[in-house]
Parts: sequence; structure tokens; C-alpha cells
Amino acid sequence: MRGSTSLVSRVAWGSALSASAAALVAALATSGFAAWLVHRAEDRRLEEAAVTLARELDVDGPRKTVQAIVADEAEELEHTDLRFAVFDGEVRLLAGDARLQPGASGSCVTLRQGALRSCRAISEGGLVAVVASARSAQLPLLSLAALLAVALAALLAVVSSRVVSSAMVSPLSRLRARLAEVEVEALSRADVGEPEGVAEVDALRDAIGQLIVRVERSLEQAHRFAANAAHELRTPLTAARGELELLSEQLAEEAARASVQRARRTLDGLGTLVDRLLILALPTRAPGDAHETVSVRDLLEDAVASQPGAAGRVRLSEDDAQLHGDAVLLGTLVANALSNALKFGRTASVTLERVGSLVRVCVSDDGPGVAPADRDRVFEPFFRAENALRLRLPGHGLGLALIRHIARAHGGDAAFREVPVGACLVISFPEVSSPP
Amino acid sequence: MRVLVIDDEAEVRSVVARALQADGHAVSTAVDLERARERVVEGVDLLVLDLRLPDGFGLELCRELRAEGSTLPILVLTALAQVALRVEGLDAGADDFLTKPFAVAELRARVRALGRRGALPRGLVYRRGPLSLDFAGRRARSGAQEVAITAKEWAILELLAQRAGRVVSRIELLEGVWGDDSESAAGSLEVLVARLRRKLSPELIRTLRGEGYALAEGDGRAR
Repeated sequence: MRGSTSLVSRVAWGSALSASAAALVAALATSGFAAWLVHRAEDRRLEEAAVTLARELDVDGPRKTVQAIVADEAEELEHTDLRFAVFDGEVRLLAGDARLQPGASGSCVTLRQGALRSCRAISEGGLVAVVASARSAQLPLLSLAALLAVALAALLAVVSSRVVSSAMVSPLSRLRARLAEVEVEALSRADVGEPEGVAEVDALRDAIGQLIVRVERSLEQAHRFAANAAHELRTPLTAARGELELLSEQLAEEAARASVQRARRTLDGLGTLVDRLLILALPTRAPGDAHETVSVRDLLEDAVASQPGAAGRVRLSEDDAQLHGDAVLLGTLVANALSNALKFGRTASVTLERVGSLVRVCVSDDGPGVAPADRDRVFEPFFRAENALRLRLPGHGLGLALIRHIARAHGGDAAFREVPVGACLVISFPEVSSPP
Repeated sequence: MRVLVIDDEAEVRSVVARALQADGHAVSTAVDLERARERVVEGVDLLVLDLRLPDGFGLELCRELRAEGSTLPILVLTALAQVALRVEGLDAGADDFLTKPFAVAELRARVRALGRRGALPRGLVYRRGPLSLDFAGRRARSGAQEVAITAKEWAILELLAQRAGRVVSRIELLEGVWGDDSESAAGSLEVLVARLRRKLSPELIRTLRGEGYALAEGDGRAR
């Protein structure tokens, strides 16, 4: 599927994003709360300083001027950044920093666009003591730490969410893996596995299981229909062919015999067609493990011997390989492959190749070859290649379908290989492993 | 030879019967297993047996006859050429198979051949050195290695093994395997004997010029 993203990455990105957002909110809230706490502590210090100043105004008032008291206080607290001012009841500056204001109400106010914070206390003598300090800026270190924490959390979320989400999606992945193993040829043995214990995945698994059963049933019906139809055709065909055989023996006249022979050939063709349809209707996986050991070379030699005129036109390799399977079906396959090659080419050659545990039977001919566009379609039942139609070659377009069907029923396959001249049909089979 | 043709399809039964009569056989027919049993009791030399019969599966009759110890040769007609069915058929006691739709000429040849060579030597296992040929199971082994043997090759081996150590004439082989002694059959016989030597052992089958072939004596027959 083009352009699709994996569920794992979707879940991973989704959870990473939400985790990061949560981390950001948490960081903002935390730093906000921290700032509030710091400010409150600052206010308390300023208030205490103002109360101290007010008390000193009351205590030292009779002995010192207000200016002297403020100067003493400032000197005493020189190492701090505190600023002092004292106003009278009419808000006139008596001493201290002129930039400070007593503030209208409440004990603490923010001055000069947030740069200063000042708190006040009122002495018993009615003087207003104001203490201010530079407002600590937006707590830059704290904010930076919070941002770093958010970034780290986001990174962790991205990394861990991938691991976590692939673990969460694993029941789905297991189901997918089992479904990938389901073979269309062996639906009855399809295994969707045990329930995962995850409601959504199990529902999906059940739905797929039911679908497989329905597909299998309808395929089986189609197979049975084709098999029955072909089977019903066999009996009258056998009888009609037999009658014609007997008839041609009894006929003395040459012309009449020739006519009967033609009818027999037509019926033979029909018989072959019915045979092929019946084989194509066989399930690709024959049930049971009944098999014979069959030699490829025997099959090839017998096929050449049984096809009139084939002996001089086919070159067989000396090589041999043993297959497990149905000798009759494999014989049909080989005979079809050879007759197909000789239909299009003047000569054909057969070679054997071994790739791993597979043996490949390569049937090459010197004919016009198969157009690249047709290379796969020629294996469809009733498909007839351009060449075959143009050359008016006889056939139903079943030979190659039959070859592939039988090859697959034996755990192999058939395909055309790209060659510079002619055509090269490659039929692969699992070879019988020879015990050491 | 008295041949019993058992098939529920009237057209097939009739044409097969007439074809075999033309070959000089005395032909009787049966439409189902019950009537077939009656005819067998009356005495026949060979059965042509269809598998799908109205009152049962044709192989039931094979099993019954073999259980009674009968060595009546049985040619089975099947609609399906599946290996599973052939294996089952061999186990049940069938000797040869013909797939529908068949050419009547092929049927006549098979009947002739089967009439000549008789029923499969049941239970016969030929052993010689590492080689073993199990005729009932149609398995050939050379040591641990299974050897692929075709149906025609088995028929040749059967005829030779029944008289191992003695000469079997070319004519006997041709008529017992192909049902005729035509030139093409003679050519095939030579090819197949050469093939058997290649597959099994070069000295297994001796050629006696002008006489026929002989299978080397086995290590002993086992039941």
C-alpha cells in the first residue's frame, strides 16, 4: 500500500506527541508555581524589612532625624539590593529613594513596569516605611531548566513510545504474520491462531476466520462443479470414442474410414480438453501425502516417445532429478511443456538446473518467444497469445495453465524466463533430498 | 479368456464388451457389485472394474476377492488419475489402471497384457544386495535411496521377478506389458530395460540374444 504509515509509527507519534504536550504543560505549571513561591518569599523579606524600618522610626524617632535612620538602615543593609524610603501621612517623601512610591493599598506593589517590587509598613507615628528591591527577572534559569526537561521528556517519549507501541501492536503483528502464511490453495488448513486476549484484535481475527471459511466454501463449490461437469462428460466421451474405434475397424471403404478417423480425432481433442479441465479443477494441494518417486528424465523420455515426430526435434540433457508426486500429473505437465515448445519452435531443448533444494526444468524453443506483456497472462486458463492466434495454432489456451497448476500442486511453479531468442519455460520443483 | 465388465454406464459397458468380444474374449457384464459377485462365482478369468458403482465403491470387490485369496487379474477404470487413488487401488488388490476417457484400443491392449501376465505377485518382495523391490507397494529402494520406477517398468520387473533366474521371452514381455508385439513396443522394451539397468544395477537384467531377458536371482523371497 503506497503512502500508508505503519500503525506502530502512528501510535508511537501520537503517544510521543501527547507525552510531550503533557510534559510542556507540567513544566509551565511547575515553573509558574516556582515563580510564585519565589515572589512570595521575596515579598516576605521586603515586608519584614519595612516592618523593621517602621519599628526603628518609632524607636529612634525621638533621637534621630528620619534621614539618619534611613541612612543607617541603608548602610546596615548595604550588601543587599534593598532600597528604602519614608513618606509621611500625606505621601510626601521624607527620606530615602525618591523613585519609590508608598503604593495605594495592600502591603506590596510592583513598580516601574515590573522592575521594582516594593512593600510598606506603617509606623505607630503614622510614617510609611517603604522597602523595595529589583524584581528578580522571569526566573531565567528555572525556565531554561523547565524547557530542557520538556525537550528531554519529548525525546524519551519518541524513543520509548516506538518500543512500547510496537509491543502494544504485537498481537496485531502476530495476526498479520499468521495471515501471511495462509495459502489460497490450502484454506482449510488456514490458521488464524489462538485468541490474543485483546478485544479489537480478537474481533478482527474472528472476522477474518469467518471470511476464510466462506471463501473456502465457495472455492470448493466452484471446484466441485467443474470436477462434476468434467466427470459427467467423460462417460459419454469414452463410449462415443469406443464406438467410433469399433466402427472404423468394421468399415471396408477407405473414405468412410477416413471420415470416422476425423470424428475420432475431434473426440480425442475433446477428451484432452475435458482431461485438462478436470486436472485444473483438482485442488492445487492434493490431500494426503500419497506420492510416488518420479524421475524427470523418465518423464521427458516418455513424453518425447509418445509425441509423433518429437524424437528428432528435442534435445534432452543427460541430467536427472527425482521428484515426489503424482506420476500421471507430472507426465501430463512434461508432455504439455514439450508439445507447447514444439508448437511454436522447430526444435526444443530441455536442461536441468539446481538452485538450493529446487530443481528447475528449463524447456527452451527457437520459436517467436513470449511477449513480455504476455509473460504472466499466458498462464491464465483460456488465454491465447497473439502468436498462437496469428499462426492459427490449435489449442484452447489451457496447456500453460495446466503446467503451472500441476507444478504448484507439487510445491513448485512455472514461469517464462527472459531469453534473447525463442522462449524458455522454467518449471521448478522441490527435489527429493537424497539421504547421505 | 472370460472377461467380466463391471460398469453402471450402459454405453460404456456395451462398447467395451463388444470390443473385447471382437478380440475373441467371452464377455459377461454387470451393472453393480451385487451382480458382479454372482458372475465371479460363475467363473471368470479377468475383471474390468469401474470404481463408481450404484451400490458401492469398486475397490470393495477387489478387497473381498484378495481376502479370499483370489489371484484374478483386475483392471480398474477410474475417472480420476490421482496418485492417492492409485495407491489405494494397489493396496486393495487392483493390478492395472485405465483413466476415463480411454481409447478402446488401449483398453484392449491392457486386457491382453494383464491376461498374459496375470495378477500382481502380491506380497512378493525382490531383494538383491542393497536393492529391494516391493511389488505390492510399488516401492523400489537401492539402500536408503528411493528409486523412481514407472508403471511400464514395474510391469517388466513383475514378469521377470516371477521367474527370477530364468529367461522370459521377448514376446511374453511385449504381450504382458504392451498387449502386442508391434515394432514400437519392441523398441520401447529395449529402452526400458536399458533404463532399469541404469537405475537399479547394470548386471540386474541379463540379455539372452534371440531369447529374451532374465532377472538375476534374488537373495531370497520374503513374504
